[in-house]
Amino acid sequence: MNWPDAFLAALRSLDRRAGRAALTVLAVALAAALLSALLIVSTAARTRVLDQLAKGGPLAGIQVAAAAPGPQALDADTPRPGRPRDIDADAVRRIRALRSVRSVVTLESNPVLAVAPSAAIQPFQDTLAGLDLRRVRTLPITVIVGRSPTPDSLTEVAVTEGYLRRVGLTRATAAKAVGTEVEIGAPRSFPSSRDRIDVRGRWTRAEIVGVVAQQAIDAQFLGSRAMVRAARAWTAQSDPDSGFELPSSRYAGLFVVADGLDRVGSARASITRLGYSTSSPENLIETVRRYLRVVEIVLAGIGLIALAIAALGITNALLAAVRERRREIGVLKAIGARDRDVRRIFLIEAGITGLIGGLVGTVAGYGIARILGAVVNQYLVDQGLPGVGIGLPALVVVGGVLGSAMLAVLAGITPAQRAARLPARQAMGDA
Amino acid sequence: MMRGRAVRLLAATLVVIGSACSRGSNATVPPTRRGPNLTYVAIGNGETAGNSVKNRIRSAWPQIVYRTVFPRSAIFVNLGQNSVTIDEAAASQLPVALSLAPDVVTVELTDDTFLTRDATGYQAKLERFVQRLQRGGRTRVILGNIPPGDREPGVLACTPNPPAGSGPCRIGSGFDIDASNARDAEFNQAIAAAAAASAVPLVDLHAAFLRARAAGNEDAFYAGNDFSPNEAGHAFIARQFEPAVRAALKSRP
Amino acid sequence: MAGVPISVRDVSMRYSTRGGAVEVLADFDLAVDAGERLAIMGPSGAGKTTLLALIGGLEAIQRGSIVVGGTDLAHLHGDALAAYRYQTVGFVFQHFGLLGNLSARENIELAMSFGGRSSRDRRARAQLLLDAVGIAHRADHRPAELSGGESQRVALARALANEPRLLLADEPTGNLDGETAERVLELLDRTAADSGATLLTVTHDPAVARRFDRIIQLEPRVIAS
Repeated sequence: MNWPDAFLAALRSLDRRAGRAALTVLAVALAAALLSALLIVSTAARTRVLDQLAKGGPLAGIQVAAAAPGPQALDADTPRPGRPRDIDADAVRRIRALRSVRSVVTLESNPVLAVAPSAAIQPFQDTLAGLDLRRVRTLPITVIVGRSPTPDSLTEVAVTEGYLRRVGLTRATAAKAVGTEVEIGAPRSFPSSRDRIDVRGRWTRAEIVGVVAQQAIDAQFLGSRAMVRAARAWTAQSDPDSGFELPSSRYAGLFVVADGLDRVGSARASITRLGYSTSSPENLIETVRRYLRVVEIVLAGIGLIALAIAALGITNALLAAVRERRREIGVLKAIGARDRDVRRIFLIEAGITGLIGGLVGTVAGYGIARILGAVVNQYLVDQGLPGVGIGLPALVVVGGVLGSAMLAVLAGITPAQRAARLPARQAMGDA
Repeated sequence: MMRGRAVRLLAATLVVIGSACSRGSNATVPPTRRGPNLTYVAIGNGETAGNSVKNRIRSAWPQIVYRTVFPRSAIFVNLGQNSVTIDEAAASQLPVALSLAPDVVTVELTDDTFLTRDATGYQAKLERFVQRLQRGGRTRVILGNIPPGDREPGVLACTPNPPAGSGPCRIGSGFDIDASNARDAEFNQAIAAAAAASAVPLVDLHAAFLRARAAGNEDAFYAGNDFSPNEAGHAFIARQFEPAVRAALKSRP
Repeated sequence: MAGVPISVRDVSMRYSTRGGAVEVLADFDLAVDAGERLAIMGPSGAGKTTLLALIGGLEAIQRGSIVVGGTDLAHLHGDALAAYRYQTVGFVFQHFGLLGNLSARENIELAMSFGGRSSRDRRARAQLLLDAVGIAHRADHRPAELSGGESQRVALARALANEPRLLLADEPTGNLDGETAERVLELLDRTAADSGATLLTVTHDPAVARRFDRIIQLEPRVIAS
């Protein structure tokens, strides 16, 4: 019996037991959908992380403090900085010129007085930090809730967890801060004498549009560079004899993006040689990568277990079919079928089941991954981050469709073998 | 140590995975429309600075005016200072105000009533002050006059029959309320004349407080043994200024 | 195509059952001439079907020898045995043995698919056979849609598909009513005669048996081990 005839016979056999075949296909499809969705999502997540790590991004970011390097400057992700050291335009230029550095974003800051909406909270002094917010997605700034301020806005700020604590909120309730207004005053001291005034604020009002994690910014307010520069311009006119302490460094810090994770170490070493304290999550990220790998393995394991269960389902269904079709198999042999003809028909049945199940499952898995991707992208866009492209990797297609078919064929070997070995005498019924 | 590191690793891992697998909060805010970049400067005395309120940043009347009348994009500087003559303000507050090129300025310089007591000279100085502030019409200036002082608790404490619960007299028991009222009236005439001469609006706080007195509300604007209004008084003053400031914003060049 | 002679010598068959060993054939001898039409009778358990299965190559010979057309079946195994069944034997079963998922035509074509015949050839031959057994109008119906008589006609056509030299029929009319059985027997007779094939038919019915050239009677032999 040639392959097309065997294929046709197998197809007819499946057609005759359409209900059972559909259930078996469904089991394979579900397993394949689960496996392919997990693979697609984890591939997308991994691609994104690798992209960040390899091409430079928040995870390849180095924070440079306006301080000299402390002891064990390069041994730890976040070493203790040494004595204060100003970062000026020249320092920025020299760091930017380093070979292992992809880009440098300057962080500027100014002391501010702040008035929270609730009258129960006393006005307080803290810091307004500002940077080029167009670059925020390349920086290690995590938006906890809401979004980061628009790049040129003078009326939007994000707050950090310090502000939340001050107004009695937590990470869990951080959303309550979003949408509220805060009054921010840049201070300026005047010479203290009878006919002069002392400290006066230049007040602005800003809407809190998001809450960001504080690990990268030592300030309670994050705004646009224009906002902090305007505040700085006012405060900078303070009377030098007033005793009002202003930061002498032009830049409060720098965010340096290395040319990939493998360059973070050399970039940090170069910046340290220039005399500045650095910190970066390189050790942490390397460990995260390993954790991610473990998660991938676990996810793939779950999918494979599902597929193995589906394979057992195929075996079971085919064994049942063999039991039911003993006489039919005997008849096939009586009219000339060889053992291998019978085996071939059963294996093709299993293969078709796996192929259809794998195809349906992979398509469904892709659909599920797209839905998940849409949800994830909504979240990322909310965070001011680029979305994740959910593609259909060739490996997943091959793994999902052909893998399912192959697994089904493997699952069909035992039933097919059993069918092939049935004596032809079965054609005449039991003796 | 190990535990802390493990927690950090776990948190970082969850953040990375979470960024791929979870949905965050919907608490997002649409981008703010940029309004006009207005600048409002308050020039004035101790009341302008927010004296006698617990929290001047929150409760001083110019801060309230800024908060309630101006768009979010506006900038505000309060230059008010305690016990300042118009000459002193011309030296300390006026240059700073001019450097800010303000769109709206409120002027409440009334301490000359007890510091120089020269209403005639004051009027001329105020007119010059206002004219310089106006910057050829680019700045809208609003003048405020002197509220009646005869119900201030610090003043009542120095009368022959102080109200029950009054504190000690701190300005001398010979304080002549009638003479003080007469000086206030003289200065208010000077302020009104300066406003008219400079064609700037006048916020008649004196009349407003008398209306409040007639309605039995005035005493609530003062607290303790003070000469300056409390939070309620500042809110009242802010309400008197608000229509004029709104009008000034509308008439801005 | 001429039929094949059959020589059965000293054949014994014994089955193990829960109740003990059952010997259905003991030192059984039989000689059938080429083209002879033989009826095999006997009570249940006498070994009629077993004899048919042995001659048809459906069951391995335990003892003795069976030579069909010069081929000693004891020497055939695996593919060679399958080839023997395909090339030499045509089976007609009491239960028809049609595959329910195939139409009448496809059942006939299926029997020709194990020998490398082209699909066009198979189709043409199937049509010929359907015409010959008078069932062409039901060619595309599945067995469940056919009556017993129609099913057995299809089964007969299938048995003839590969032009067998030996036709083995196991109670071919056992599931048919009298009139239908008669028509099927006539058809079996006619087709066997036309093809010249040797015909062995197991039957309980003496009336059926009398239509054949020769009748052999098997006796039950049961020996508890």
